Amino acid sequence: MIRQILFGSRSLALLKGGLDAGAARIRVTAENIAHAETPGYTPREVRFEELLGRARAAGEVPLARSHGAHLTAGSASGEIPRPRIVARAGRDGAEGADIEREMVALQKNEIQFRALSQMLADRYRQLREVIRPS
Amino acid sequence: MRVDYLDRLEVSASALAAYRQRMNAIAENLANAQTTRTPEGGPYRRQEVVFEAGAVPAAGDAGGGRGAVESALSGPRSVRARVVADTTTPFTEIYDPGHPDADGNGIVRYPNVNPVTEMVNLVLAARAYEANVAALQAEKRMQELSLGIGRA
Repeated sequence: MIRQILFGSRSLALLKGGLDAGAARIRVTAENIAHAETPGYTPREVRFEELLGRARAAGEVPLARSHGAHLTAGSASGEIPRPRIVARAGRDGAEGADIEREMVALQKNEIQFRALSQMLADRYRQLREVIRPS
Repeated sequence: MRVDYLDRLEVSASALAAYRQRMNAIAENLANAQTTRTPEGGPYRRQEVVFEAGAVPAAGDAGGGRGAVESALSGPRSVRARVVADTTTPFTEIYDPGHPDADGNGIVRYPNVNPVTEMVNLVLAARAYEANVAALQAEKRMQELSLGIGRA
């Protein structure tokens, strides 16, 4: 029961997926930057939002509800996809990573990670408020 | 428990070491830009540092399995630097009969170091070094955020 409340909710699973993707993305970006001048290295990237969108379109992930009275859509059993690390499809045949692009990815990813962890922390803070005896 | 989040910093750290080595080689090249005598004989030959991907660390944490992230690719690879001598760029030949190292025709062979090229490479290496420091700091800040999630 407690497990269900703390970790079972869809939005928490989504937040976890987002944070996992962010953690993987920083690692992959750091690697791309580290190997910017390594011959033969193929830059990598993390796919998550895209997989999530596809799963949602296929009705596997229920729509988020911002209000308790909202109806749920899709089956509740669908699993939230795991972030996936893939080799970046080669564009314009250039080898190695473009460092400016990677730096932007780094910033963007950090802001997103900050937002998600803030949301997760808020969620736990609410739970703590409820649990705490008045 | 496998402390895999500490390993993640290793890739950036190896890149920092590699660029540091490149900057050292550049400093050596600039310092020896006029060196016409070496223990091996002949003028100083320019050193170059090339990078290659290191071995995949044991138990690559990104590989398949039931981790938080799935990947069909090999785990993170470190950057390895290797020093090679530049044998393609020819030595600079200058006519200077009064020089003690001049040959029979009065030609002195100077190192194949072009200070302008070295300076450009130095700036590039310094920039890349900074980029890796930024990546390292971002990783650190994000890990701190993760640790703070459960905090009141």
